[in-house]
Amino acid sequence: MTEVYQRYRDRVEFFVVYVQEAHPTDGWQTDSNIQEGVLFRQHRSYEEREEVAQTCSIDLHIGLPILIEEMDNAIDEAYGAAPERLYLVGADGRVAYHGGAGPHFFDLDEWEAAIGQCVSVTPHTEDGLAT
Amino acid sequence: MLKSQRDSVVSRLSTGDRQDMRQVIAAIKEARGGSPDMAAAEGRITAREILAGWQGELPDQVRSALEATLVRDETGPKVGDFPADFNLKRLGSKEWVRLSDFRGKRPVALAFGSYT
Repeated sequence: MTEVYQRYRDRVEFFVVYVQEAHPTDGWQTDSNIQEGVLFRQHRSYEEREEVAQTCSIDLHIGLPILIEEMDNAIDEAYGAAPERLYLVGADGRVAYHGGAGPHFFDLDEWEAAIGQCVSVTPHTEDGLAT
Repeated sequence: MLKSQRDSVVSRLSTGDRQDMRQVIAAIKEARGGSPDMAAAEGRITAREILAGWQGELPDQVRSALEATLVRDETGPKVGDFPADFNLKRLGSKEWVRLSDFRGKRPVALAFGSYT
């Protein structure tokens, strides 16, 4: 993901949106998280969510800007975001790529292809986009 | 569909059930072929067709889990839709980011997720 970010960051805004935990210790736990020691309970406050996101960003060396989802999980619900999902919104404000729901249909290569296609058809200028 | 609703169905599956589920998922992924266009529209229909026409025997709970997985997969704004706007705080700063502020300016690539 960082590679895609590095390649296109001059032409595309990138954000990681940190949502509810997919496999918290007080929910549906997975063996891989236990083995890797990635053990966090579901966030009970916005501050707790921020803290876990911070830990995640350091541990996984996430270079992308991270936004924190509010505790009402409204974005998660609207976008079907958790456990993980990729989108691309075009400069026209419309969805240009609606990635599959993770983990089964999560596809970084598709996302990158969509981003590549998007920047190749939308010329950009210093003060904005040509219409 | 909420993630918690999908999880409640999928997390009940036995190891054998999960193997059955993975087979169907693998067939769906193969049919999608990794093209962004397929994922946008046609891939979804194909996924349902594959499930409907599945020749092997699928226990009811596996069918329910796959159904929930597909419904969850279909959740969210589709290609061409205006997505729900949001205004979220950026980690480690006092900056707030509103999605619609980029309209008419730049494309926005979003990656949703969590550590676990």
